Parts: sequence; structure tokens; C-alpha cells
Amino acid sequence: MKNQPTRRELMKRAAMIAATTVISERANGAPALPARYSPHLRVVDGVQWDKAPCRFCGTGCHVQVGVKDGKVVAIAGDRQAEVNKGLLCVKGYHVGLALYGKDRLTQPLLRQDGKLVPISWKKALDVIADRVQKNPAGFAFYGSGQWTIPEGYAANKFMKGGLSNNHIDPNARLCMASAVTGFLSTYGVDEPAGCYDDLDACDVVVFWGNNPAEMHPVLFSRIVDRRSRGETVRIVDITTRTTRSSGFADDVLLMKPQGDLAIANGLLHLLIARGTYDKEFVEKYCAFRGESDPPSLNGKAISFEDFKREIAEYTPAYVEQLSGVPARKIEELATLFGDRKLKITSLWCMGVNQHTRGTAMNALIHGVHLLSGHFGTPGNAPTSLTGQPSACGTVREVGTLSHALPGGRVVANEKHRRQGEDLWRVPHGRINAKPGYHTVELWRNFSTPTEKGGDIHTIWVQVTNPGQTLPNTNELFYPSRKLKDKFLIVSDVYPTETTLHADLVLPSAMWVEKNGMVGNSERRTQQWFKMVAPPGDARDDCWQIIAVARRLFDRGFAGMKDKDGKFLFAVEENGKEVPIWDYRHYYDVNVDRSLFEEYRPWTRLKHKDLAPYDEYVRAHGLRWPVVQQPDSSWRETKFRFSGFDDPYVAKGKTYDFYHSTSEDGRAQIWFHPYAAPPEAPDKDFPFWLCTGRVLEHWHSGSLTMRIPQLRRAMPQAYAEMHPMDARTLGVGNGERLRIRSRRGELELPVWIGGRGAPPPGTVFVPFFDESLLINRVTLDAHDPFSKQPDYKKCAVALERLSTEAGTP
Amino acid sequence: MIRRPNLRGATSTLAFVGAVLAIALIGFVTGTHSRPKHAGYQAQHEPASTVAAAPSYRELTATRWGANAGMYDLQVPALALSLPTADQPVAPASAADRSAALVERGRLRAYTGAPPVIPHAIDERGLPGCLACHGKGAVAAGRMAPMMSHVVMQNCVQCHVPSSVRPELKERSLVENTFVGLLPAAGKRAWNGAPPTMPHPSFMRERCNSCHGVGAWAGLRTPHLERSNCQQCHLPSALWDQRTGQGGPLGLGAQL
Repeated sequence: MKNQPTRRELMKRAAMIAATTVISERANGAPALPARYSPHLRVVDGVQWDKAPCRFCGTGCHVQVGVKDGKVVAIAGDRQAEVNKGLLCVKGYHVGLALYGKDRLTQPLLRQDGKLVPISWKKALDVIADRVQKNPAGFAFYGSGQWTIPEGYAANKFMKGGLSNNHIDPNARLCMASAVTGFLSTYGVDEPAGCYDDLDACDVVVFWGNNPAEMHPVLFSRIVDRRSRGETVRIVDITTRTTRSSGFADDVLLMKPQGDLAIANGLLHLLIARGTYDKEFVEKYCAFRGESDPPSLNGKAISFEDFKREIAEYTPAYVEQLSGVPARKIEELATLFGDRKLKITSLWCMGVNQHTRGTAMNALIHGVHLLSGHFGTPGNAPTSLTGQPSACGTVREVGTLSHALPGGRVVANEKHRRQGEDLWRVPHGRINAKPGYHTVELWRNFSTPTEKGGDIHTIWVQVTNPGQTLPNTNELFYPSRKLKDKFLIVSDVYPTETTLHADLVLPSAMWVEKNGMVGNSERRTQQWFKMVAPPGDARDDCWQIIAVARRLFDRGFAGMKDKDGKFLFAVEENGKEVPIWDYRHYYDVNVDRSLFEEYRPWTRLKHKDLAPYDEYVRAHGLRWPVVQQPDSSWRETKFRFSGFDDPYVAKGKTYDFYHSTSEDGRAQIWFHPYAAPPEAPDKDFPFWLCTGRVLEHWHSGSLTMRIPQLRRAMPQAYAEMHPMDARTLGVGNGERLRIRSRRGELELPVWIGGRGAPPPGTVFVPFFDESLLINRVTLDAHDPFSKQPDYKKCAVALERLSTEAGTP
Repeated sequence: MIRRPNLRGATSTLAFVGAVLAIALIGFVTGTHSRPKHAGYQAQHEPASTVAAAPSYRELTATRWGANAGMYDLQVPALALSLPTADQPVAPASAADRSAALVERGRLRAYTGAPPVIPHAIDERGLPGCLACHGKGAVAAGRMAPMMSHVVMQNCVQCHVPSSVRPELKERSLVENTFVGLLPAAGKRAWNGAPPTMPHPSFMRERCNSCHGVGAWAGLRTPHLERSNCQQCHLPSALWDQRTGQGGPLGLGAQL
């Protein structure tokens, strides 16, 4: 053993750890770091290291955070983490810098006479409580897939269990709602069956409108680095523009926008027409489903013969006509899916989800895998990826959606409401049966004058930036800012387009400035401890919710009491209530642990069992269902619905879809016909606009644009186009272009031969840049089931500006 | 399906990559280079698509794409000529050399252990041509292209991004960031004269030659180039040893 520490060194280190964990961090009344027991904590040369999941995307890499003198000073990829095995991407390596932008929000600000003026927390809490009491039914919460699990759980309980109000929806509605409806309509229960282990085992990986080389780089490397080890993995890239991922692909299927519907149907048709589908798998474990009239999430049962007849239309020639992809390439891909010896994994994210037929498209990809039997063994999986660290853990599992309750329950179901009321210990009837407004509805309502029926008077936004990320902001966001009785509360860490227009701004703690838990794309729940103090008066989002709840409780607001009259968020220690609403005492106990243990019983209904909090302290995340073994250890599940791994599969069964919507253990293979996009290029608006992301920046860029290494590498948004189009328009590299849709316009520099290569007739613009807001141009048309808008295709006109015109 | 050689371990991968690079260079220089053909599935001429067929892994290091594909064609052998060789004597680094090297090194990193940024323009979309210079390392006109310090990973630009603004995009003022990164401290010695421990993480820095070998900054170059088993004498620093938590095999936390 090299570097074996001596006994004296071990004792010295132990003493240092003991000393540093009890040191009070600040003198001005903020709580000390919690006394804690992290088995991963180590202190060497004055640097205190501990594990945390990365703050950014849904991959869920673990980082080691190095803290010295109360500040983060270094980051290292965590070698013990199964997700990333020590590797990170450039955002992850620089995640520590996200805390230290100079313009951190450090005190509550209230708009007075048009200006944001510093106020005390006490005043801020009173203002919010006043807004709630004005009319609790018109108070809404707009949250995030970046909410930690305890934060989302507290917000959900505050709204649905406290205010009897379901107007709570997250930004994840814009991000993965269609993935949820795809899983629900196929398996009857949300979230992927497979996991990242499939990426190590597959022979073929299919990217459906996905660019993981930039957006999920660690997973992408997990695939392509297999080639460096001499393994073979064939990459098929189905895309509307060639990207860095295409550069590594063996086959690139360049399609017209919306062509994915035709391609998936074409594959289903060929599998049946050629007889290469998996007859045994389909006979034993699948049922067929078609769209009902009126349309519904679960459609109607159809026979295999019906399915075969309907799908027969999607011949390779017809698919070529709809998608622009040569028939021969469709046939080749169908050959791969028809080969049972190959192991095939599909990955998708925003291309499929941000789609007016997103639910259909998700279901079709599942259908291709089910029909071909590429399901349920390592390497064979349809796996949807997420873009936020806890889109799964918080939004989908805790159910911070306007129709949902924790653990896969829905407010419309009376049994679910009763279970919820019992778990929250609130009187029966407390939870409102009517779903609240989904994101687009919510913001449209907020921007509608009260006298014209806009009944939402206040929205509290946490951990997201809707002023930049909502679609069609000219209609959904800005009008509310001119209405006097519409009040916008925003909790954030930096000034953003949203705080700029807010009435009350609350400074938040972020990432390792607070305790947290999140859930990644592969059902992995992760935990970390607070490591540094937040700046100034910035405080935990979860505390903010609890403090407002307590203010209402103190004012006698009935909803903040449980059925015994106790505070809804009461935390007791040794039989005494700890005043966690007083921030000085917030870390006297581990509130995360307390909320998580309260939430755990919710997770059993849909067999998404979570382990006790302390198991997550020990592990680098665990994939649910986590089930206790006879030896009392906790075992995670990698492959859901597969008898060899999933403890909930009936004994002796190879596969068991135990939440089947047809209630017979079968998954549904859907027929969803092609449908034209809601808006397509025409004479007046002749180009497609696609929006998206770049490697360096994460979402609205409020964190990554403050990290010099990332911002220098990608300083601003741009319009990417084909050189032929540029020539026709007469614009050169760096020259300015006006992009105009029926909804808004934006001026941007052109970048030809840049990061991606759109085909002629398409322009691509990333949305990270707060000074070049492309969502003034995009469309708010959305999927009928998931209510997720389509940011990937709308019609625009392009116009050359003189090179002198305008500055960014 | 394409059958690819079954390589085991980093050494043979490197040897393979080196061999491909060498063949490619000869090909480029003599003008006889052509894309290798393989018997299995290949992308054919695509009338309806403007996308070039993606090259196979075999072709990755040998094939460059895009407008600047030829820019290094005659450069790489010339760069290689200017590298010192292991049999040349190397003087121990002076303190001035050493601090100059650390400044230069720190300029490209947010903290010790961060992946360095790329101090030159890159082909944004094409397959990474990084290996052409960074596979073995090169020195020219006072500029050094260090050999990569880790095994070949395909998606180089996942971790390494350009340090400066590309001409198409203007830089606007940056919000100041007050992050202060961990700086490298000198390696620790058990006694005067003992070999120092590594003052930086050792993970993904397995190829010591990258910074301490012939092509390295003078201040970091080892005075004993002829010795190749570095970790025989220089041990990883405990600062970056992730095994020392309780979760690791040493089980330190259990004693707390």
C-alpha cells in the first residue's frame, strides 16, 4: 500500500476533522455548519473534502468539493461515483466557481417606487404572508427541477397541504413533462426501466434528437471511450442538424423537423412487415394501444391486427417523404432493431420532449424497443435523459406538478388525496381535487388582467428563471409586469431577467451552501451536506418556505396547522419543537433528513421505495426501488421490470410491468400517427428556428455565464446557419441578422461553420444568453397531454442588418 | 459491422494511435493518403442529405475534416524535429524557471486539478484533431503543445474549452468572479533529499512526461529523463487521495 498514513497522521487528521466540523462559521447570527457525520469527509493540509452531486444537469455526476477557510477552492471528479467514475465535463470541473460571481444577491429586495430596495427578512416574510392572505386561491408557486427533494416536498406540502391550492408547477414542465406522459402511457408508471449501465453494454446506441457530446458529456464519453478500449459501439444519430455528437456517429439520419414521428412509425412497420419483431416478447408482455376519441392519455386498446393495419402506411418511401431521411437508412436502422443479437439503447432528451407530439414520440420510442424486444436486459433500454439535477427526484417523484401529489399520486384521485391527507396529518378535504394551472396556463393567467379573468395574483418563483426560459415571453411573462395587482416574488442567487422584473427578490443559498438531495436520470437519489456559508443574508429556499408557513401559522392561518393544531413543518428533537423557522436554529437539526423521512412512506405506492436518509449519506446515490434485504442491508435496483433484478417482479416471471395500464402486466405499444407541426415555414416566414444548448452553458446561463472559463469559451448567443443561406442573405460570419417570428424578434450575430451545422432552411440559436432572449421569438404551442411547449421548431424570417447596426 | 482490433490496455491503445498517426503523416506528406475502405456497412452517396458519412474509429486520428483539414499536414514532422530527446542532458530547473512555469501553468487553470483551457482556436465541430499535436507533444517557435497527461479520451472538448473569444462572437464584460483556486504547493519531502510527493492530483495525470518530460516547460522538466517508473519514488499526495475517507479502503472515518 503506497501512501499508507501512519497512526499518528490518522489521529491528527481525526482531530482536525472533529475541530473543523464544529467551528462556528460566521459571527453575525448565521447558523454554524451542522454537526454532522459524513463518512466521506476528509481533511488534508487544511482542505476539507466531501462528496456532492454536481449542481448542473440531470446526469448526476458526483464531485469532490475541496473547502479551505470557508470557501470552495477545488473540485475533483469523484472516483467512487458509479455515474462518472472520476470524470467530469468542463461545467462540472468549474462548478465551484458558480458560487463566487461578484453580484450574488445577499439581501431581500422590495420594489418601491419602481426600484428594488433592501429590506429585512422579517419584512419580506410579512409581505409574502400578506400576499397569501389576500386570497390564498390566487397565490401560485413556480418551482424547478433544481429544487432539492426536501425543498420541493416542502413547497408541495405548503401549497397542496397548507393552502389547499394546486397552482404549483415547475420549469420541468418545459423540460421533461412529455417523458413522464410517455412513460405513464406505456408502462403505467414514470421513469426509465434501464440505467446508465446499459451504456457500458450496448452494441448500438441511438440518439433521438439528442446531442449528448455537449449536453450529457460524461454519458457520451462513457459510450465513446469504450472505443478507446477496443470495444465496438455503433452510434446512430437521428437529428435535425449535425452536431459534435454526429461527428462520432456511424450513421447520421438528418431529418426534417417532426420527421422523428415518421421514422419511429417506419421502424414499427418494417419490424412487423419483415417479421423481425420479437414475437415471444410481444405475445407475453405487450398490448397494443391507439389514440381514442376524444384523445386521452391512455387511449384505447387495439388488437395486433389493428396495429398492423394502421402502421402499414409507414413504408420506407412514405417515411422518406415525411422525414427527408433516405428510405435505405430507415431500412438499415430497422435491420439493427430486427437483430435480437445486438443490444440497443436509445437516448433522448429535449428534441423528443419539447415537441407538440412529445407524448406520442416518447411512446413510439418505447414501442420500437418493446416490439423489437430490445428491452430489459443490460444494454437493451429506451432511456430518456433529464436536463436538471432533480427533474426526476423532485418534480416527478415528489410530484411538484399542478395535478400531482408525492409518490406518483394525482389530486384528482380521491383515494390518493385521502392517503396524502393522512400522511400529512391534515383533515380530510384539505387537498383540493381540482388540478391547478400548468406552466403555460399559469403564466398566461398571471399576465391576464384580474378583471378579464386572470385569477392568479401572485407567483413565487424559486430556483428558476422564467423571464428567460418561458416560451413566447412577450405574451406569457412581460404583460404581467405592467399590471399593478400582479405580484412577482423571486428567490434566486444572482440577478436574472426574472429578478429584474420582480416585486420582491429573496437571496438564496445554493448547492453546497445548504444541505440537499436530488434524483438523476437513472432513478438515483443523491445526498450532500452543507459545506460553506451562503453570502450575506442569503438563506436556504427550504427555510424560506418554512418561515413563510410559520408566519402564516403565527397569524392563525388554519391551513398551516395539522389536524392536531400543530405547525405543518414542526420538527421535534427530544420531545421539544426546534424553532427551525428562525434561521439561527435552522441547522440545529437536519431539516432535510426530517422532511425526507416524512416523504419516504409516500414512495411505496408506485414501488419507488427510497432508503433511509443515512443510506444516502453513505452511498454515492442509490437507484430506486431500494429494498431492504434479509441481512438488513439496502439493495438498489438497476433494471426495473426485469425478473433477474427487480424485486417487485412476480416470482418466476422474466418480465412484469406491474403498473400496467391494461392491468395485466403488459406494456403498451402505441400507434400514434404522424401529425404536421403547428407552425411550418411559409412565404412570409421561410426558415425553421430550432433553439437549444451548448456545452459550456447550463440553461439560462445565470450560473455558467459568471464562470470566466465558460463565458470566455462561449461568450454570447449566435445564429447558426447553412453557408448557402448565409450567401443568399448576404451575411458573413459575425455579421448581424434579425430573426423575426409572428411573436417577436431578435438581432444576433451569425456564426457559420461553428459548433453545429444546420441544413439549408434552418437556423439554430442557443437560449443561454440573458442579453439575447430567443424566447421572445419561440412558440408556446404545446403537447395536449404533457402541456410541454415545442421550443425546437417554429417559422421565422431572417433579415440581414448592416454590420454597424446594434450591439448585443 | 466493422470489426475493430481488440486492443487491451492504454499502452497498446497508445501504440495503435501512434502507429495510425505515423501512417497518416506519411500519407499526408507523400500525397498518397486515401481514406481506408472497409468491407462492412458504409455510408453511401446521399443525394437527400448534406451530411458527410461519419468516419469509423479506425479513421478518427488519421482523418481531419472541414476547411482547415490540411493546415497541419506539413507542420507536425517539423514540430517533432524540435523536441529534445531523452539522451540529451537536462539541467535541474532553476527557481526562476520553476516559478515561471507555475505562472504559465496557472494561467490556464482555475485551480490545481482543473483541466487546462485551450490557448488556441479549435475546429468547433470537426472531430477533435487534438491528437495530432497533443498525442505525442510538440514544440515550435517557443510554443509548446504538451502531450496529453491521460489516456486517450475521445471527446477532448468535453473538458477542455478555448480560453479566448472566437472572432465571430464579441466578448462583453465579464461579471467578476471572486473564486480563489487551490494553488499547487511544492511536493512534500520526508527529509532533505528525499523524493518529493506529487503536488497535484495523480488521477488523469498518469503520463508524467506530459509536464515533466522532454517537451515540458523547463521549470517542470525532470533532471532525470532517463528514469521512467516515476511512481517508484514519487507518491501521490494525500490531498487528492480520495481513498482516505471512510468510504475508501483505508477506513479513516471509522475512527472518528
